[in-house]
Amino acid sequence: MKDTAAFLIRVFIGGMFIYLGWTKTLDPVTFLKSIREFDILQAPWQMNVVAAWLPWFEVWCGLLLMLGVGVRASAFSLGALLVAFTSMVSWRALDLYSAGGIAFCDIQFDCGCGTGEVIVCHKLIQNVVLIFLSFWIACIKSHKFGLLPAIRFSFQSGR
Amino acid sequence: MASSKDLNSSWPEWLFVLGLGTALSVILNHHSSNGLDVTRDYFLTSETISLKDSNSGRQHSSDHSFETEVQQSIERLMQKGFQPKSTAEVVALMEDPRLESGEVVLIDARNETLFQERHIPGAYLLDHYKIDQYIDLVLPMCQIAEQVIVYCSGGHCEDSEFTATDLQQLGVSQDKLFIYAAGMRGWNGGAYPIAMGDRFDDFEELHSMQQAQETP
Repeated sequence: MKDTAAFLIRVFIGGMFIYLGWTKTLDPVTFLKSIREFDILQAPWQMNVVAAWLPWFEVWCGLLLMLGVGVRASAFSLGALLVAFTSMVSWRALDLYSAGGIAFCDIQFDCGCGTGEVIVCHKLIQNVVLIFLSFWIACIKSHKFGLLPAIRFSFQSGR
Repeated sequence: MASSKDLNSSWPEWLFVLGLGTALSVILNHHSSNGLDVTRDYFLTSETISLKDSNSGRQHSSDHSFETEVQQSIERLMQKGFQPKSTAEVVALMEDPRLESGEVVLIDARNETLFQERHIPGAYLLDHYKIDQYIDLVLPMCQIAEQVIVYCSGGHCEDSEFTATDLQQLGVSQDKLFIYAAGMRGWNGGAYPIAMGDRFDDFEELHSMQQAQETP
């Protein structure tokens, strides 16, 4: 039962990151502009590196999760990225909220997540659930239903 | 559940995921037609427009009209030495033979997808983020033109400013560079003529539209 749940969650999170990453790879300029709007990275090369690397890395980790290869490292990486995204979205939402005039849960903006404009409260709840699921997947010692069991086996025997 | 010892001892897995993932990202970005040049300063070290001023963050839409955005953009552009063009001035160009003869050049600074969907008739595409793809065609036109008018999506969109700066850096005099700050949003709002697809048959379409309007 736990194995099946873990497999379904892997496929869900993996598929989601493949989709989100792929949309960003098709239009990295829009993603680059979103990164700039967060106003966290200052140097042009820092923004460029993140905008060029992150979308492909999301697709890569999503693929690995779905295939059952390097599951713990890819799930942990995606979880860590989600923590970073969630912090940034929260910071930006709080910044907008502090400007006044609207309830926190009515704030919506394009977070650069690959899904266009989002309602902040929905996004934060979604991310918290995904963070929990990613770290849960990362903490499972061995995964069944890997589509490439040979590669998975080679990692396990290497430990 | 995995212990921290397990996680530490799985370094080949980490190397595979992070190392190969990063290497693939670099290679795929480099070979992608949409890939970014990590060494380029795409925003020309321009300050980010404040989140509270930008059109993102919907709560401001009621008290922060498009006209206000355009006015703020015009003030910003004028501080940087660019001259604004109003919608009325750009509309007048549609019947101005200088647009077709190339004495006035209209530049669309958005991306190719948006340009293909709709653009102001007669405009050339010059996407600041992929400037190498278009500059060879557009720069000679701008150098001989009397006026170069650049637009993007409108309001707080900065791409027209970046593109105008590119042209200036490539030798086009700032005296003849103008920015239509209301951009495509302002143009769409007025239901003025639009063109779709590539530029080459824009004037044919424009003349047909004008003839249709003149016919009682």
